[in-house]
Amino acid sequence: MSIERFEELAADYLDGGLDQAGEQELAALIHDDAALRRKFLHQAELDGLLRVHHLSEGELEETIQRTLISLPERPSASAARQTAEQVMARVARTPAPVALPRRRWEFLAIVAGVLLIVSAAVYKVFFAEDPVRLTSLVGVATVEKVSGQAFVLFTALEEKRQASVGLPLQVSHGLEVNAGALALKYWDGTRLELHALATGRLWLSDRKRMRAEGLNVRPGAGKRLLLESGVVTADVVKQKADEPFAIVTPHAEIEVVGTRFTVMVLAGSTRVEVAEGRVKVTRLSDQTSVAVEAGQSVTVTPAAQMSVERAQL
Amino acid sequence: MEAAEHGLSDSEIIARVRAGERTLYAEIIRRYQSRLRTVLSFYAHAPQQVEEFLQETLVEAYTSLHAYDAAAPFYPWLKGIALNTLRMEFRRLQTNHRRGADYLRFVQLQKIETYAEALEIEPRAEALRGCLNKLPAADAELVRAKYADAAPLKALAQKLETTEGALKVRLLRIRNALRLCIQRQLAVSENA
Repeated sequence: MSIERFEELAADYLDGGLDQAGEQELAALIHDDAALRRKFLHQAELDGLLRVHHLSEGELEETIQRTLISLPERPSASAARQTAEQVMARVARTPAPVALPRRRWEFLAIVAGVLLIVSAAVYKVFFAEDPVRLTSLVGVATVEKVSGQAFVLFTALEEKRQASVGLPLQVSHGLEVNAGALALKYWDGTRLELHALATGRLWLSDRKRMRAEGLNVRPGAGKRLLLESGVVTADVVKQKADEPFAIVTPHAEIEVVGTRFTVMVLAGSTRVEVAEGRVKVTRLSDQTSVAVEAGQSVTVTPAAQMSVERAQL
Repeated sequence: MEAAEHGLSDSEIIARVRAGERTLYAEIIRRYQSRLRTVLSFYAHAPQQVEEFLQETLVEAYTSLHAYDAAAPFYPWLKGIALNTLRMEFRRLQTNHRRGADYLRFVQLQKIETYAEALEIEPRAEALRGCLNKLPAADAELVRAKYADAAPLKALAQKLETTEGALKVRLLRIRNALRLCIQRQLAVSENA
């Protein structure tokens, strides 16, 4: 393999323009040749240094703001416990429910009813008791609606208490939903509805949890959630193109910039149905991707071919 | 308020953040973000990945402030968290780098075994500043257009009336020249 080919591949890689086949080829080249590997590392090092050197004040300031948003209320473990107790004291005082206009309630009720009927049918057919388990990464949210029994879980305290409308949710919090539903809203207006037909758990945690669980997820900015099982309907406000919202399941990663869709995680597969907009679904086992448009669906399993179909609702 | 924050020591800021002045943590980020980025980019060139590692480091440091010993300098502690973040990713990729992209990240992260304390990295960033000033004007302009303006290579090639391929090779040569210059600068500094 020629040095020119290596240089071409390395240059494209550093520019972020190398496709999967190119990455594989470059990886094979440097794997087999120590000298090329050294050259690659030298180029990557300089590229990284040059990027940092040329960062603008605006980009640096953006990082500061993004980080502040991600931070929990208090820094220390004991302070986190204090915060949890303060939050629960607020919950116990029964905060006023969020009042939505009547029409909006009717519309939400119809949508929720349709989804529940579909979900119940699928659930009955395919599996007995599967929890709704969702882990949210980076970002602060608020509980908007609760039905059935829903609890907030505090990882540091290893205990749970009743959730209620208006409750603020932080990184490292979890939610448990029993045969009901819970709606939450992120600070930018993105909404999620979580549906459980049996006891289910949803976690808000940080990015480390996703990698610690061995999920092969590409790095990047943007909100991410880990849906371990169950049904989530998402109404995603338009995100920045380079910071897509993503839901990760044990089988797939679903990336969106702004749309409405449902993700259903069953025992050995993930199903995605898009109501509005367009999502990109990537199978984690081999990083194969498909685009799913409004009115379409796809079922992802580790081995079978992914094919996009018309959604059945 | 900003002027007052700039006058505070790290320990004073940390104490106030611990006491609940959460937004004051912004000053810590302002002070150390560039140095952390320099260290992180040595092990992972892709800007998105550096950003993610940086976020993790800063959030982890914030949630671990109760464990920070105020008598010790803050930045080495913070850098330690950054290096641990990289080590965790390296360990994950050790058993999972069959995909090309994962292997390319793994190879870069592997340097954490050799440059575990990252002592030589920040002097390289310093040396880079001097070396950029020594580049021929045309090369310096190309580097600025690519990295500061993030101009696409295709547009740059058209502007310079050359091919994309030729431009890529030129950038490779420039980066190599900068690397050799940095090595010479560091050698001179060591002998001084």
